[in-house]
Amino acid sequence: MKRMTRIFLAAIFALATANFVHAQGTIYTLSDIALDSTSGRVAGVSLTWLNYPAALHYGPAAAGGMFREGDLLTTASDTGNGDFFQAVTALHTAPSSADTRYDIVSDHYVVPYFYTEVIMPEEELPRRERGKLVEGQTIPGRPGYKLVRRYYDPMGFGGFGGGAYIGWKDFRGSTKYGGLAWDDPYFYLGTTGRGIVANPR
Amino acid sequence: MLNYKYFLAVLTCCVITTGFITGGAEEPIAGAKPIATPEPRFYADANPMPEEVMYYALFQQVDTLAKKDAEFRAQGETTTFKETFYRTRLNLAPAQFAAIETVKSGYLTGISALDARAREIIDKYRAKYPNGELKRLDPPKDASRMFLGYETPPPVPAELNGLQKQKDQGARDAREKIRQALGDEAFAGFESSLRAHLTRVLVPLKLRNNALPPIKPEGEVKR
Repeated sequence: MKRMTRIFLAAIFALATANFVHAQGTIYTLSDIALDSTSGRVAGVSLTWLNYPAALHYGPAAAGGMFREGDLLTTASDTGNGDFFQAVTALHTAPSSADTRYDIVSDHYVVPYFYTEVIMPEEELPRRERGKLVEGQTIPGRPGYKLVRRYYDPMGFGGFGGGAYIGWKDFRGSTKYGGLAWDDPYFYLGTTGRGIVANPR
Repeated sequence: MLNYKYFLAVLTCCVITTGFITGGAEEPIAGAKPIATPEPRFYADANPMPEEVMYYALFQQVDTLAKKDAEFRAQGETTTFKETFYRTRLNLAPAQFAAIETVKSGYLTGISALDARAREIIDKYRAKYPNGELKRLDPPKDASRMFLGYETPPPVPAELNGLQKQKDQGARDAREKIRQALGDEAFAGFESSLRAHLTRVLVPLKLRNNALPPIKPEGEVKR
């Protein structure tokens, strides 16, 4: 009986330890907009951040768009700029006008790090994946087959699908903001936004 | 014989433990695995919002606004995005948000060492797979034509999980310092405002929810 008690306690300890060690990868998104009472300017923040376990397999990316009365004023994107854990953009307006509506709209992404290359028959290639056209790479000496990259997605963020309210391509190509190149992989997580009616003095 | 049984029982415990640590069959350490997008398992759930998430978000948002103020200051213009945030969103008096600023600075300094160590671990983990490429595995002889197997990276290093726990604890410690600085009554009001604020701006991720959330004006913003 004494031995069985020890075994039982060992099992409990083992399970408790295992649960303690097993952490979860998580990703958070934030959008906010505010009027600065001093300058009358409006600033919008778009933030995507990962905890450490999530950053093992993905990098963060955020794209923000600032609107005035529904018209796009300015955009920015960020892929962390060497920061593994968060991507943030902070947009601002000129001094705002009375009774004017401003919105910040943020697209949140993660960029997968690991991939494998797969040879597939051309006719079996998916036409589109996550909103992007899948073309594949021609393989010399193997007509009818294409080489495609599949990205390792242990947390299943690819399940969010592609496309967004503001397409990522609207932000690409801007070296100023360090946007992703078009061919870089990304998983779209979702779009968030906030709006205010500014009434500066 | 009894010792043998005891050994078997302990071994069983170890096997169960290993299963939990590696996520069981969901994250094989190595071996063939069909390529498919797995169903999401871990998502941020902001309801109830964990304290460490609340305070990390607060410090990051304030830090971003402070950088925006510094950007304008460098151009010779004065903006007060950070102070306006403290005053209008969290209903804090200058002396109160000065206390929070002190705690925030200590927290951000503290986690910079954790971030640096975490980057080292991640770099080392990724270095085993140059450019992130996972090797394809040869199909077994009886595999179908569409066998798509590849090596899977090892589970999350235990030290990385430990660092995350330290980071989370740091945020909870910062919360306690703010409570001590503000006093219980003022702190209760502050945290209520913070929670209400973050409930509006921190959106939990939902599976396959690509729809744009409704954007509603907060009403008139007056000085």
